[in-house]
Amino acid sequence: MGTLVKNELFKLRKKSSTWIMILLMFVIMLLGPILTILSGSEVMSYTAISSAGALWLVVTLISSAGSILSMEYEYGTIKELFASKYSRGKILISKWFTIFIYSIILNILLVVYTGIIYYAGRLLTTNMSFTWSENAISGETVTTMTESFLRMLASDFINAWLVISVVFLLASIIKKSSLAVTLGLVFFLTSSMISSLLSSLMKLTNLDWLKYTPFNMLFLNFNESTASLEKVAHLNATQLGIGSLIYIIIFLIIGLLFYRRKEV
Amino acid sequence: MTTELKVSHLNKKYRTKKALDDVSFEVKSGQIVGLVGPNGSGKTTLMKAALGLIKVDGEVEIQGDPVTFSKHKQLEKVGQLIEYPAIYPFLTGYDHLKMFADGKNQKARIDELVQDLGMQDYIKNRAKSYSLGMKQKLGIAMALINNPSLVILDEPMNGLDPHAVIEVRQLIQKLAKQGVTFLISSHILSELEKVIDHLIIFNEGKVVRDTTPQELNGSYKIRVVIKTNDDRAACETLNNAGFKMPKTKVSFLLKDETTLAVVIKFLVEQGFDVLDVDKQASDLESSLMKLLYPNESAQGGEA
Repeated sequence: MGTLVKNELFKLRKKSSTWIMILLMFVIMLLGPILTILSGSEVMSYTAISSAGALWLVVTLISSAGSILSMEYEYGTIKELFASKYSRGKILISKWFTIFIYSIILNILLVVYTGIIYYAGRLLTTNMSFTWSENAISGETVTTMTESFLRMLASDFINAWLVISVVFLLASIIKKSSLAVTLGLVFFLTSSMISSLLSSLMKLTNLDWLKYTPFNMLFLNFNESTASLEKVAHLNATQLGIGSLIYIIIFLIIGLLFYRRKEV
Repeated sequence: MTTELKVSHLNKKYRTKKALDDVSFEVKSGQIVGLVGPNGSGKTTLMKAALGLIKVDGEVEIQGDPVTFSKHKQLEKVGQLIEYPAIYPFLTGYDHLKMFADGKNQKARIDELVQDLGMQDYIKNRAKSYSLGMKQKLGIAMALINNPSLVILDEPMNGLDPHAVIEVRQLIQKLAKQGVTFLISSHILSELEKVIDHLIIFNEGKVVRDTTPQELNGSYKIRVVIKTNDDRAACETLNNAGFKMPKTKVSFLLKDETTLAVVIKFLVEQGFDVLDVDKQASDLESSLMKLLYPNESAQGGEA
């Protein structure tokens, strides 16, 4: 298994798209502060810096998760993998691990990029205040900005993996990389709209079970107060977190069952 | 000789078509076995079944232990190249070999293979710039990198130039001498004939013949064409004397060694000058054509 993960990481490292996406993440994160400075605004918070990067991070992971499976069909390398001593299950699990490691690396990069841009901003601008240390008020609780930042990262991480598990499921069924990635992106981009619709539907009707759908789980945000979460999602953060993890496991296992039956 | 690969009663159906129809055969250790047959005869399906890539009914054993769709332990001993080489365009040839190499002395093994296959000039370039032949060589190198005891190659000569064909042939022969077993399918029968010592002929998903090239060639008679000073008259005279000949050419299949002498003596006695005798020995290609398409290859008379 270690060899498989090592090989997957090696392939990921050698793909130029991996580096382009990482570079673009930085460029996209820079755009926000630059536009803010140009518009003459006086306050720039680190969350404003990191949010564009966090969005780009999910897009990057969706495309990587889709292509890590589907490229093997495109290049015909799936036969090389399947005709090895490793079982199909191990091959797929090594790919999950690889994307998991990649998602952690991207999150670390997000923090690093945020720090670089934040401190560079403080150094280079005089009339702007880049906020970091003030307390943030979320609902009824008061937390430090650092804590709030970590909460944001944690909720984004779980949300991202919920989407990635769907992409893994799709890519285990569909051989075409572009289609799996497109469907994953559509799921991700429409999820907030569908979540809002579900939320409204729950308010209007008695369809309380809708709160257990995967779309509703995407409301997970550890920075939101329990009251405001229950208002939209009808579940608290812990429940949403557990629900998300259960869905992630279910989607990955269904994908594994499909993958294990693949003939090439 | 021990058995390296054994397939027993393999059956595989794609919708209504039977791709494998009760296929059984054995490959002994150190043999180079050719797998031949027309397009769509089931050669690739059989190779995929032996590698656990598809679900089949029946059994595959490598060195006595089973290989199935979900049981792949034995494939550790197998190298393969199926249909076309599996290449990541963003990796170099060297990256591929490094990635798939297991165990000790990886660098030495890679260097030796690169040398044997003449890949030194481009092995450090990205594979997206490779020609078909370069990719094919890399695919073969990947199949051989882990010192397998069994190598399954599907059309290994595809896209190779004559020089590369010789390099691959020599490498196969070198490894076979070291005891490596090969199962090779190829359309280039003249090339296959130079390396194989056993032959499995496939048609419509069935093993039609499990034989040696010598046996197959020997089972078809040699054709003789005799050129005389007047072929037409010679044919007429021979036909009148009870020899079966075409009308314009003295051409017949040898039934035994004495036939040729009898015909020549008869022609000389009848006053014909024998100018040339051409013995057309049967090669693998023509033997195979006669076996698979008996109606199309029939021509000429019989002495």
